[in-house]
Amino acid sequence: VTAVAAQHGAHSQCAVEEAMACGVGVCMTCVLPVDGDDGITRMVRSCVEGPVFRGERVHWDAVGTIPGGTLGAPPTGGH
Amino acid sequence: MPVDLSTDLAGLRLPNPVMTASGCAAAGRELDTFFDVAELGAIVTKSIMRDPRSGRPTPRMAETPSGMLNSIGLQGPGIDSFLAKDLPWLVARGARPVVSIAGGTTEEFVELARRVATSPGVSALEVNISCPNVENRGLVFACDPVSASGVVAAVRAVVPAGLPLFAKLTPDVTDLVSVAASVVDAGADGLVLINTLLGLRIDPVTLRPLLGGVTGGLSGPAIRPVAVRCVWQVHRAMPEVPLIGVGGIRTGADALEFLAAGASAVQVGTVTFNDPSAPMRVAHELADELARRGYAGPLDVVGIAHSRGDA
Repeated sequence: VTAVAAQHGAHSQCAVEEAMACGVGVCMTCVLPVDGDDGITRMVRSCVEGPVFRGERVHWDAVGTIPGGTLGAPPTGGH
Repeated sequence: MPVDLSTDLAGLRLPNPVMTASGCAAAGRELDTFFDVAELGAIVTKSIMRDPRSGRPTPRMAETPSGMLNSIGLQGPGIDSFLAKDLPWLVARGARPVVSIAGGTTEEFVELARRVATSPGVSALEVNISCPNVENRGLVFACDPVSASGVVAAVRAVVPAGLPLFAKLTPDVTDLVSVAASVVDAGADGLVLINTLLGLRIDPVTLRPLLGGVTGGLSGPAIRPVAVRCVWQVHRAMPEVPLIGVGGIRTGADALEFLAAGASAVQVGTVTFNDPSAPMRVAHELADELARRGYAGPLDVVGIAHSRGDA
């Protein structure tokens, strides 16, 4: 959806569905990599900071990973 | 007879012996819409580390019988952001913050402890030496009495005597009492029992691990008997050491079980995920449970199970 919108010069907003434990912002389960207004990529809670994100802000290809350059990403090998 | 829930924990005065469990309440702000965080005994924050940390890849949660596995990996904003935003909010709100710290090295623990200890409004420090969601099992300090006491002694050296220092231990050890004794000798004022147990689930379709981080920490009612056993064993060996029981508490009756086994306070964790008001509800239910049995307060029942029959 983001790609199609971008092709036509339109913004997209996407509602995401990630597995959640709490749904109220305390458990940090439902995160995905999203760019903030400051351009920094963070693992963002879809429950309280989403679930609707600007499509071009979400690293769709990297959902399920910690993309390099994410704030606090592990140097090697994971946390 | 009205029940007075107020309690003293290593010199820390609390209106009730119920806290949030670290990692299940973020830094308190989200739960304040469900109950008054200043009313609960204490708010234990998610373990804070020195630097911002992304945590582990998703999926980070897997359901299990009567519990769940989590593999968050200590995601957090780092100590600078925590001290600038989260802690002042808790203090201004009137909550009693118990700040949980986690480090990859003893030096990181010491730096965190020093900065937290010099921040105004901190009620106590919880040293998390038992998070299972780290890449190197060798870094789970609480798996070994020597490593565990090394961290606690180093932290104690920079934390003034007036600030209670609690160490959170893992049940994933052969001899919990020896680890408990070593961290008490090193200067811990009390112990938090228990952290999650290391677990793993395989996806029945893909036949691969369900969690992005492969292994995770098991929590919820499934681990409650393990936690009660740990409290029992440590209280029996060191009845003078304040214990904070945590593991699968959903109700006031569950909390009462921990007090009877020897805990002076309890923490409420995983149940918060399906009932965000649970910590305060457990406190109210605990008062009811005590009243029903004619007790004046929690102190009347701490460790009482040990004096019943031949244990």
